[in-house]
Amino acid sequence: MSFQILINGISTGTVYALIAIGFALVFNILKFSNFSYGATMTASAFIAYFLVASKGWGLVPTLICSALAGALISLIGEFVGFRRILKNHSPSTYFFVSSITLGSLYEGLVTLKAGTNFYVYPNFFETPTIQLFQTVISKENIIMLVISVAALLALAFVIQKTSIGRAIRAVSFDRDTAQLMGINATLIIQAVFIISGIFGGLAGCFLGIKYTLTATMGSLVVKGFIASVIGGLGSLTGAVIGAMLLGIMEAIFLSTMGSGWATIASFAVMLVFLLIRPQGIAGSNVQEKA
Amino acid sequence: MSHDVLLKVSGLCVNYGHIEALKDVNVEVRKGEICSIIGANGAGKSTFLKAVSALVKPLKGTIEFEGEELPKKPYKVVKKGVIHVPEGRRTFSGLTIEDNLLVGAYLSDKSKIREDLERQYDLFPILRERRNQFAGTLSGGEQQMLAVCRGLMSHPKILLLDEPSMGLAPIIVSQIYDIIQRIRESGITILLVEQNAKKALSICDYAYVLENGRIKLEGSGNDLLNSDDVRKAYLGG
Ligand SMILES: Nc1ncnc2c1ncn2[C@@H]1O[C@H](COP(=O)(O)OP(=O)(O)OP(=O)(O)O)[C@@H](O)[C@H]1O
Ligand SMILES: [Mg+2]
Repeated sequence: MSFQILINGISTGTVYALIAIGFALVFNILKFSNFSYGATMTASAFIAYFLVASKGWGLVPTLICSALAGALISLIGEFVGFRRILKNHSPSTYFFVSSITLGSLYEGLVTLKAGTNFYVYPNFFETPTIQLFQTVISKENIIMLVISVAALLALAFVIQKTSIGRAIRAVSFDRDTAQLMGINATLIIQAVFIISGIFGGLAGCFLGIKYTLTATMGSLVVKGFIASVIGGLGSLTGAVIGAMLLGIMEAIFLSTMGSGWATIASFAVMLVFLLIRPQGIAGSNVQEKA
Repeated sequence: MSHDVLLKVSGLCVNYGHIEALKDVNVEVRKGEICSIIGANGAGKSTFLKAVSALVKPLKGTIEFEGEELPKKPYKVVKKGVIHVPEGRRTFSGLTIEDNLLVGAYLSDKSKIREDLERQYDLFPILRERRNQFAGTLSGGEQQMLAVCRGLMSHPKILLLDEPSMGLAPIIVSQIYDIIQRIRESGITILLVEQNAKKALSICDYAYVLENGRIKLEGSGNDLLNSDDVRKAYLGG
């Protein structure tokens, strides 16, 4: 396996990790799958395209805009779609319907503005590649890698070492008891939606850079679902490991059998993996965290 | 209002749908005392504590603490110094013991946290030894101790304890009860809810008997221990 393929795989993997983590954080705290997450990524990426990238403002402002848009959309989604359902202790089918509806709504709004066309972020660098250890590597891949890793490390620090991180974990385990410790659970849930939205916005922007912007690009969220299932649903570390494996595997398949077969092959491997180890990599932690 | 009454609950009614869990309950807890509420399964004891800590919304009635009505949100009740240690311990099983204690100190002064932790570890040295292990690995008795210590981390004025002896061996129960007395001696008022009537009555200053959502009897711990009604119904004759 060449160095270049490995770098590509790792950089794709870290983007999948952002998707998986943003998804898993909300899953952990509300115990439901937020199916509007894919469309949140799409909408953020488009907002960043129209407001920033198309005006030629460069990569970093585009990323910041996309992350902020993701946070805002996610926060609104929590309020409109989930707050009441949670308060009334409604069955989880309501979350399902609510999140699918929200997702379709976001996607509809994007289609209204963008139609069914493809959009392409402008080239953010004059020379798009650099030479490293005798291989040509795209600068965008490196930037994605660095920013994703930084975001993941920052999150790990917050979750493990800070008071708000402990509160997030406490609410994820037992919301009522966490409130008895003086934690405002609603506020913590909002914070989680904001973090999830930031991750979704970053991931959406990265996907737009890697591929193209389309109204249906949110379907790539599936990669995040797969990664968090491989990792063990509910485990954040597991999700990152699962995402890296998926990214690297795809890169290898892509270089050996071409794009058509690569997708099929990676899904096949996932299915086999789930048959052998349905609890995911993180295994026994899962029950405690879910 | 007598001025050493810390917690005063008047005319409390709580319904779950059509189930009337509490009907016109009046309870007063005086500052510095151990007050207990005893009653059988389903009497409404936990519901009473949940109403005080705002986990459930009362249909009617007032809950006053230090002469003021308590807020309607659990985290705001905590800010007033009212800490509810729930039934079944409810420790955060996937957090370490130390993290459990730190969550308990969520609203406390962060500069004194080390001291507060050490105080809990002195109370139960086993927690110090195992502070970096997941709370889920503790035994039932140890988890109960952790739950109590977690509650103490926020320097409560009153501690609401829901069946701290549930499912524990007699020797562990005695340990927990010793600790409850020590906590009271440190100046914290205690409202203790129990099915274990004998234990609770023997340490409390004042007690209420809850039956089917109503207060059936009240009196000093000793009086109730010696009352025929209580003996027949709760102390096995
Ligand atoms: N969430 C709920 N929904 C519906 N009914 C409930 C709920 N919680 C409690 N109840 C009912 O309210 C009544 C009082 O329950 P509560 O838990 O307060 O009793 P308890 O005295 O604490 O009993 P135990 O000793 O078993 O803990 C019971 O009839 C119970 O079935
Ligand atoms: Mg109870």
